[in-house]
Amino acid sequence: MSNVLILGANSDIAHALARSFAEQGHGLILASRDMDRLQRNAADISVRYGVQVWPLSFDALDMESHKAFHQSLPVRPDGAVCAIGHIGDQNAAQTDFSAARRILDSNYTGCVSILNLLAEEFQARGTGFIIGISSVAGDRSRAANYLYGSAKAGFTAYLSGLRNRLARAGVRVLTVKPGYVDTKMNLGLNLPPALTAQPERVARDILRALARRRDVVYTTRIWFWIMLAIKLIPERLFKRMSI
Amino acid sequence: MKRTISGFGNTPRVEAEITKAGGLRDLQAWFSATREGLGVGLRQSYGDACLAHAVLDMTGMDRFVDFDPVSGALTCEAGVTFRDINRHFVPRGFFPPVTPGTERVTLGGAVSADVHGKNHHQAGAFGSHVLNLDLCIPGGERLAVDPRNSPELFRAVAGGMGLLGIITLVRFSLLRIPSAYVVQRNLAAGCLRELLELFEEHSKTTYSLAWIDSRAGGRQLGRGVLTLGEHAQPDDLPPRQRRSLFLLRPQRALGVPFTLPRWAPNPFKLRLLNTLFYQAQRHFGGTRVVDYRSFFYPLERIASWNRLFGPRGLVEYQFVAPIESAAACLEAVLKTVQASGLGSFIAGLKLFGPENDHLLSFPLRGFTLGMDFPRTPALDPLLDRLDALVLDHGGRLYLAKDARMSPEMFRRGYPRLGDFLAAKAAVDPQGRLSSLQSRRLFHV
Repeated sequence: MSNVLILGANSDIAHALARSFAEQGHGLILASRDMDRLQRNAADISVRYGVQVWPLSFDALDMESHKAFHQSLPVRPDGAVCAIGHIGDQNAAQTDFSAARRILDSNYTGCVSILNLLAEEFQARGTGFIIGISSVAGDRSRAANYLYGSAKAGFTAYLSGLRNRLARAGVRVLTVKPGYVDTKMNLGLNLPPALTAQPERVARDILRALARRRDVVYTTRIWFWIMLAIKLIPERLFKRMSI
Repeated sequence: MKRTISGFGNTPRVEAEITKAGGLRDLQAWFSATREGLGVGLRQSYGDACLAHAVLDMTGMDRFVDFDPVSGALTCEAGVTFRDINRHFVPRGFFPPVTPGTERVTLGGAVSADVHGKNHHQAGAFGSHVLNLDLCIPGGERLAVDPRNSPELFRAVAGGMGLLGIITLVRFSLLRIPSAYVVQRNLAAGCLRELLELFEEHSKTTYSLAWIDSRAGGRQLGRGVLTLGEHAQPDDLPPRQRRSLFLLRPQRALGVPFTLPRWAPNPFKLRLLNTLFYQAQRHFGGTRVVDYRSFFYPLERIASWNRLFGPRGLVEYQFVAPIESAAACLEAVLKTVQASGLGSFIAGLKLFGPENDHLLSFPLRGFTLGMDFPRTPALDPLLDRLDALVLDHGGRLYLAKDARMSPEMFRRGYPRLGDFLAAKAAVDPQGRLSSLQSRRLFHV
């Protein structure tokens, strides 16, 4: 029976993913900051699916702690999911660099820090998978959220390079690009219901992509076409748009 | 968020301010912000027992907390449903000791209505299987309640319709089952007397329920089919099912996506439906092995079947008559319903065991009959007449189904109301927990 490490486990997508993995019989190492909430979720998944679940405290921003965290995992994970993300406040981040840094560290640097450690481990043993939850926002940045977008763009590029490095070692790297998802991160944004997916649907798409050995998956699929169209808009035009 | 809500019968309807609870902090916040209201689950009570102008939706508190496979003790948040439990525990060989006729009931709701199933004569009501529970009272305080250490409070909470506090956690023992299947046996009875005799003859059987053709009159008054059930042992199963005792294929539900218009169903259709149903049960009777869903939740195959009753909704009239007077009471009730010409397709009859000590619990030793009627103006005088008959024979009505009984009818049926109100005053002195039903019946 294999064990999956999920970083940022309290997020809605991560929680749905954890349940889906548990349903398939995998053990789970759940890592997040809010231990109270995490422990309740861990107990629920453990009782519901009869699998072993370890809740652990983990802070993406406290990068000094990542090495110790990695070394002291209760079991060696067969695969890892990076679901750490923070949408932040674009307006504040434009003037206050600490807010900007927080966005960049939560969505890029902090993820790089922990994934570097896991990548070394997985490469050395020659098996495993890494799932990175990036975003369609990383495909092309726009005025409304370019700090988040640029961090995700960096994360997508990191995962792509990692995939190239680890392919020879037999380790899979899957880049997940969700579009609009109905989660607490997006609470308050009025997302068009027709394009907004439920976390359970995203989790299903991710597991299916993993099973089919895909490299990149947009969820829901329509976002592949939406982003393709957006990417094709010439910069000359795009810079004047407000989407 | 303001929305119009109703119970399962779709009548009455009320505009309510709905707040969803995700955790205990939400309960405390709600109590601070709300003068008067009620904690609710999936609102499957038929009438106004689950309605108030301010409701706290507990369905988001749906986590499992702990399970002990040796004792079968399961601890869950109150928003966990029987569906969740069955989905995750039937495959492991466990089942609720008492289950209502639908899976869409939360544990909080099941305790608050002290629900019963097809095995009350053997296993009693759900509340009797609760080991302990957590109750959040209007002050914001969380109390641990159990039958041994806090009996007065527990007796009021079990069957207390959510009026003492909001249940947040429930711990109860699951039953070990030998397979996910049930050996079902159908026995036809040509009249009421025969049917009641069959019940007595098979009172040692774990599960029993009879469908009555409430339209049949004269010498066939009360004709019906008694369905008996026992959990299937591996030896009872054909080879294919014996190989996977607990795994079932997902059931496809037939939905009723819209409410049927006013003109359907009419009395003629009902008589025909009833007769066909009776004949079908007779001919496909005998003994067969069915999966647990078909046995325990037969109506669930047709999701939203309450919509078949049209926009006016449906009213379920469920009463219990004590064993000494049950035959006479049932006969009188069936004759009165028959004479009125008002339809009742689904009429279910169950045998109850002795009363427990939960103050507002419905079951007592005797027979319970439940009938569904489309809501029409002609219904009220009929139900008032039935109330008189039920009272004359020493019976009472089920709060979870009721939408219209009088305070007088209620008081006479539930003599322990005084003790209940005293227990309520102790934890909710300002009367901050109330439902439309509680205000109607005892002005609190």
